[in-house]
Amino acid sequence: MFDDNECETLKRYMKGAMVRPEDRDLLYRLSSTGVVRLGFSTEGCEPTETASLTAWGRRQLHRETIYRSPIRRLIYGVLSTLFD
Amino acid sequence: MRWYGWILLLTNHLMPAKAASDLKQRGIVIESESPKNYRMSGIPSHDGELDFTIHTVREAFTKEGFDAARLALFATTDDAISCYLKAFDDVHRQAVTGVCLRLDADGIVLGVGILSHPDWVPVATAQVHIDVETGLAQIDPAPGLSQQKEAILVKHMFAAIRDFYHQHIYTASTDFALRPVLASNEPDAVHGIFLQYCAKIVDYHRSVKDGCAVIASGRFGASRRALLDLVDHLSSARGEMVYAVSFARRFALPLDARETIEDASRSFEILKDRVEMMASCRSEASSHLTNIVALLVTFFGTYFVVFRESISLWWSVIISAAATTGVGALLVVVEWFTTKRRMQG
Repeated sequence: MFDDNECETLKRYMKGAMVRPEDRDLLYRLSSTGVVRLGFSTEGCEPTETASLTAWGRRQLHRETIYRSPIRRLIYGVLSTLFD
Repeated sequence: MRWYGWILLLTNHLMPAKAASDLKQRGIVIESESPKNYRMSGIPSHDGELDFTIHTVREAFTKEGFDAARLALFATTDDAISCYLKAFDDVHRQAVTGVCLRLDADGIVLGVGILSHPDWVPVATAQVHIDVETGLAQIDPAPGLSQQKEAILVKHMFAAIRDFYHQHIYTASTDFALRPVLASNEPDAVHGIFLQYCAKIVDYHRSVKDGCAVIASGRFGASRRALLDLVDHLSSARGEMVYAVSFARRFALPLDARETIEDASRSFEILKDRVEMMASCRSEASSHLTNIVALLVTFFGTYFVVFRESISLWWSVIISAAATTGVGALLVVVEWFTTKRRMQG
């Protein structure tokens, strides 16, 4: 679903964070398919954009982190084969 | 340059009257025409994390809030004002902001504003012109914002207008399936929105392709839940394409643009069928494997229990085989009932 760079970027927004300018394009793109939701904060004098992963986005990112770890992949693979 | 956003399903026949009557029935319009008889109510947050009850919003919205909203949106005495509190902030989750809409008698949004809470200072306001034939909303923000801030706030003001018409059909208010576009005229705006749909087609296909590749590789991704998530994702994609078809028809897009959307829609349908088939096969495979494990555990479990009772080896094997057959028969009966239930509904 996501490549390595996207995973690293999205981890920052797992529980909500201020949008960094270099992440904006990716977040806008992913917001159109329901991975990210966008908000803004009025703390301080200027409104600042915030972003957070949706429930679906969090699940996908969680799966991606499992794919990338051989041990976790093995454990989840066995468990999902038996019980899923 | 002006901001334009498309509000899907907004037509002269369908939405404004429906939205207005819904609001009246549910008591969500905050202020009636008569300032002496204003009622306070509100729309709870859609976000889930923050659960604002109507009562909380009643407590929060004061008369100063309505007055500030009226002043900020230049509302006349004929206009109704709808206000509610919303959590826009994903970092400080307890922070809420006021949203106000100026409506005419037919339920058409004429203005939108975002006010700070609890002091009701306007953060941004905009005049709105909605073409009810097409659903295209033109948003003209008040001057004084930098380009970047304007882009952020116009997006959320557009979402507030969209939520007003979609509150009974559209759930996630912070999703931006379509963003407003900055364009010099209406045809450019329509083209900009169409480009968003094109990007969406590519993105959905890409994510499904990646998901299928992981599943085909036989790794953990082949879990049933992962497949069902993919089915859910494809349903969203199909839904988006239905709206895209409506968009193309409404704005009479050229034939090749309409064909692009219709082809994508068919493609998503085929992919959805394919992933559903994979989920079904995965379910069956998982069920067979679980059955085999259950039978093996029964056989060896019984064998060791019986063997400890100092019975001869052959009798232990026979008793274990009988117990395994019994469990196997039970599994077959359970599977028969499950299949029957699945077939029925």
